[in-house]
Amino acid sequence: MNAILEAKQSLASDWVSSAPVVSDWRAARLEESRKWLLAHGGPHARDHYWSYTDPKLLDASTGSLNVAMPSFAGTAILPTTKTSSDALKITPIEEAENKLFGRLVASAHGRGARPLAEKTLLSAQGVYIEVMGDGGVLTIDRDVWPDDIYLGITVASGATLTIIETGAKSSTKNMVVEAELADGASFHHIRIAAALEDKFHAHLFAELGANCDLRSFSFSGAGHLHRFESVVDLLGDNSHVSIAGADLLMNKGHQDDTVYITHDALNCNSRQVFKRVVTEGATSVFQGKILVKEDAQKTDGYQISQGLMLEDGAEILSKPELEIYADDVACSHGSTTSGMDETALFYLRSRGVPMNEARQLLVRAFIEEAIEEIHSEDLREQIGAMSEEWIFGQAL
Amino acid sequence: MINIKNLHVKLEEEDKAILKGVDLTVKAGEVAAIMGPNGSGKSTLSYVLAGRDGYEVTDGTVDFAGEELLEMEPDERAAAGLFLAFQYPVEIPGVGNMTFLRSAANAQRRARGEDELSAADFLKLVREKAKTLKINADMMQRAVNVGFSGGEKKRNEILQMAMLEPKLCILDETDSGLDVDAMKLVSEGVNALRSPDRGFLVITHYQRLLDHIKPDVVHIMAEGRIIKTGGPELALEVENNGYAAILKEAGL
Repeated sequence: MNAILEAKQSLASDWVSSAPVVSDWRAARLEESRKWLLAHGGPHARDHYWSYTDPKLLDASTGSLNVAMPSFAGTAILPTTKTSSDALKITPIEEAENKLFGRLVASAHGRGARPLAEKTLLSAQGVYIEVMGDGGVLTIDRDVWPDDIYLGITVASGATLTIIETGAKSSTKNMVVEAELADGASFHHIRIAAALEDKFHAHLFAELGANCDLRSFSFSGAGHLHRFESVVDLLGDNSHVSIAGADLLMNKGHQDDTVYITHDALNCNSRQVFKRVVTEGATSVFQGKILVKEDAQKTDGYQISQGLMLEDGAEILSKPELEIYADDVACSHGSTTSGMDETALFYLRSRGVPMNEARQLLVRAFIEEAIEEIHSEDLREQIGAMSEEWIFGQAL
Repeated sequence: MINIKNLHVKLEEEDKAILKGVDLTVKAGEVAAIMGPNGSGKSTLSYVLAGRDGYEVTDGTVDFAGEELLEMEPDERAAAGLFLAFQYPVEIPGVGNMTFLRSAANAQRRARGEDELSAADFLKLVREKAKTLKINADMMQRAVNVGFSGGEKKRNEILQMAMLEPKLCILDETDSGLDVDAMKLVSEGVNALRSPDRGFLVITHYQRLLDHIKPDVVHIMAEGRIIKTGGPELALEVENNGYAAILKEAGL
């Protein structure tokens, strides 16, 4: 047995042995997680999707509140929330068996191992959210949720749901979201991670039927370590998915956006739009993949990752991957890294705008394309205003 | 207004002198034109006055309204009343034209210790000035100069100039890329700003612009210096005969 696998398994063995006691049905499902973890182990710097984010960064950290969270209109939920109406049913996961739990995590391993998702399943608290109609807006304040968070989301045909999760306190959180969208369903997801020194590892696994609309946007003002993994399977025709992020990284923070979108149906459209601003020795990682299967004709896949480096010593790492087996597709990807546009800076200053304000304006402008991926105009404005508050509070 | 004495400038990156002793004065209320062959240093002069990076002043002084201009940051120069209308106005994706103008106007006011304009007052002022330059509401909502035609970009420069009410306006080949109608519109905008306490430095290759913006003095620049100064008739002479005779006269 090689030394790397041994190290991986030793890490996973610690996780497995420290997992809490859970309900019977879940214990039965978690046997699979345990087996998988003991066989494959935890993440290692030699793993395909961990070469830019050292798993050692997962070690503990401390920190403090950094930005005021906007107050989003919506219904706040907790792991204990239990509610039922014609449009929406929320059930704590310990209360009832649900076949969704861990299903999308298990199926995602084939496209890159997701050991931290399995680990999160072992000890997570959370809810199932079943949406049959207009599910409205649900808000999750991670600061009052436990460290390991699970959301199992089922959006029925024609139903809609928006979830906004926020967290401003420094903490160590792991999160798994599994979302199944039936034909014509729509699910919009906003994640804000604004604490300066928190450690947050979040996963979104989604399976889409036909004519679905999935949008996930994250704002990251990070952070000791943020790693957001999104694995999306387009299984029905004519669906749309957008995974976007605006990252403003400083104070040696490390942000990793890892996205894997699989087109396995006709005429689907996928977008990955990431805007990353780094300074003060921060590191930003983007690993974005589009897999277009043989039968996924008329696929339109778009991927852009742009980095703005405000000073030397920060790092921007990009790994765009396209794997295409269909012949009638349009896929584009772009990855750029640059410093501040000196000409634009001079233009602003020549009109009387002082240096710091000019830089702030250009940083705000730079992330706009990612913010535009947010579907709701109200939310777009709120997130835009929040990012402005963040940017204009910094000496750039 | 502005008094440039013996200005020597070289490129920062390479050992190449561009301005080799420029002496030039623009008085309040005066419109001074600078003409000259390509490569004579006209645009460099405008950039150096506005404070662009990449140039090193090796000698000389520039007195602007009683202060040493060359020691000021670009934004301080703007707040002190200097305005450069760019030959190639810069596109800034993601920054709204209105936001840009308001940031600029208010930053200058703050720098001068004045109160910022209220949103309502600002809007009223912009609408009024935009209307005379035929700049529609759509152009104000779009990102700065993004998707603007050449004429729209130049009109946008003049709008900024009108909003910021500078003491000295430098127009760097504002006529380049303009059709006849656009040139007329831009010139009207400039002429509307002419006043006894404002000076203009108009850099151009062509007499045509000077038909619309009538200069008080015309300077000819070559080899990094002002080699001849005269009245409006000097521009006509250049238009008709080119620079050869003037260069020869200056021993170049």
